[in-house]
Amino acid sequence: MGKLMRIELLKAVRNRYLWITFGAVLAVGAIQCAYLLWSLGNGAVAGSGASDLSVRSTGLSMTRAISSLLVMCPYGWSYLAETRHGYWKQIITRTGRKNYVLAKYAVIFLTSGFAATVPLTLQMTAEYGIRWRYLDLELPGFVHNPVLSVLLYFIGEWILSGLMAGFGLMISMFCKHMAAAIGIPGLFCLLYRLANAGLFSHLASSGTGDGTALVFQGILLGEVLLLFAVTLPVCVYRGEHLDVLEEGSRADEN
Amino acid sequence: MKIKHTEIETEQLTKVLHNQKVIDQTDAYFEGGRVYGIQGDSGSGKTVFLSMLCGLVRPTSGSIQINQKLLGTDIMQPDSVGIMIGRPVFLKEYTGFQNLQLLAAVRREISNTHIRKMMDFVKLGSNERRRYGAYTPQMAQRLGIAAAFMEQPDILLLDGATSELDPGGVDMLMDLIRRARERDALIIISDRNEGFLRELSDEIYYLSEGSLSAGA
Repeated sequence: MGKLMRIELLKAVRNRYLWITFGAVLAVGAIQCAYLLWSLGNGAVAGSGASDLSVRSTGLSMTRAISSLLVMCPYGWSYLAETRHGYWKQIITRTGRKNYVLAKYAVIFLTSGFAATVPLTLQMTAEYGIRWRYLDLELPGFVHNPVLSVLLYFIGEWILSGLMAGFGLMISMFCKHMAAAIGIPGLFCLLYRLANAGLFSHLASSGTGDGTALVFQGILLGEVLLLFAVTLPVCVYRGEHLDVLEEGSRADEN
Repeated sequence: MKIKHTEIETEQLTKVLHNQKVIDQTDAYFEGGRVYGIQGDSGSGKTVFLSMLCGLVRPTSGSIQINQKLLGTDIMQPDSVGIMIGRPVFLKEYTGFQNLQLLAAVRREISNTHIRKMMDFVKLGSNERRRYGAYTPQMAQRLGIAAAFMEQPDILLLDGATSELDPGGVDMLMDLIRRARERDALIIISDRNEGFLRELSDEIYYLSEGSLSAGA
């Protein structure tokens, strides 16, 4: 499977949609930072959310929403494309269905994680830096351990984005059309992000104090484990049992 | 290079698609060193039959044994198989050579030199830098043939391999098939070109109403 993963990674990196998605999310983040800089430069602090120091800032939330919608764009579409037009026949007769699906899952995890996480992390770092510069606010975690804060955010966001892409791969295995394979997981991931954001706001406002972050991290960890536990076995099972006779059609076993 | 003797045996093989029996309780035996031709009307199930032999399609019932290993239980696909089932499809943004390189990298059994020799043999050597998206249908067919034969598999399953080929291409394909037979490969071909089948095949079968019967 290692050889196949290297091949898939090469194909993923060479495909233009990875870089288009990366560029799009980066652009959204850059616009958010530019707006924040402009807001603070004009003295617009109150009501702008500029004093929000957490990762739940409005700008980051919007970028996360965009990256969620685009979760399948970097490389998640490739399984459906290759099974529809028949290219997968060349691969699975050489290595088997399970290896093919596992390699796809791993590379889709990596590429979608990369396309979302790097721009988000850059935006988070830039926003913190801008707020620190203009507002002279205390940023406890960030100031005392900036590298650790960024690293933890980077790893956590990559895992979450990657697993959402894995979920998207699972959905695409049941779709016949590319639009559905890209759109449905994107919408689900967006709703998932919004639900999490709402849950965190509710927890924060319910006054559980320092325990809020721990509770939310526990919930997030549970969601991540659930995503992994569900999506990977379903992808493998579906990949092993899907019959694809001709391009553009799928025939499941009766 | 002689290879181990290969055999494929099907027992009561059945495939139901959209409530219709495409393959109906078919028993068959194929062994290496021979070329088997399969004829049949359009929609008779030839593609489905060949797809089942390489594990692309799972049978509804019955069994397929390859070298006495049960397909779908002991093995998920044959250990060494080259296929050309349906129109050959490759990645458009890569050249023909790069496409073959990607496929060869999965098992790493052949070198780039070997791939180039195969491309020269199928008369695609001069187009090494042309992207697959710019290939003509005949060039695509030749690349598909190269992909099927390049790793010298023990089993070759070819469905409609002569379509899009000119007479020179057909001769090239026949040469490749004869060489594969000499090294004891098991070759099953299905083609509309009756002359092609009759000239090459040691045995011809006819697929009709889901059943395989010996042809004339």
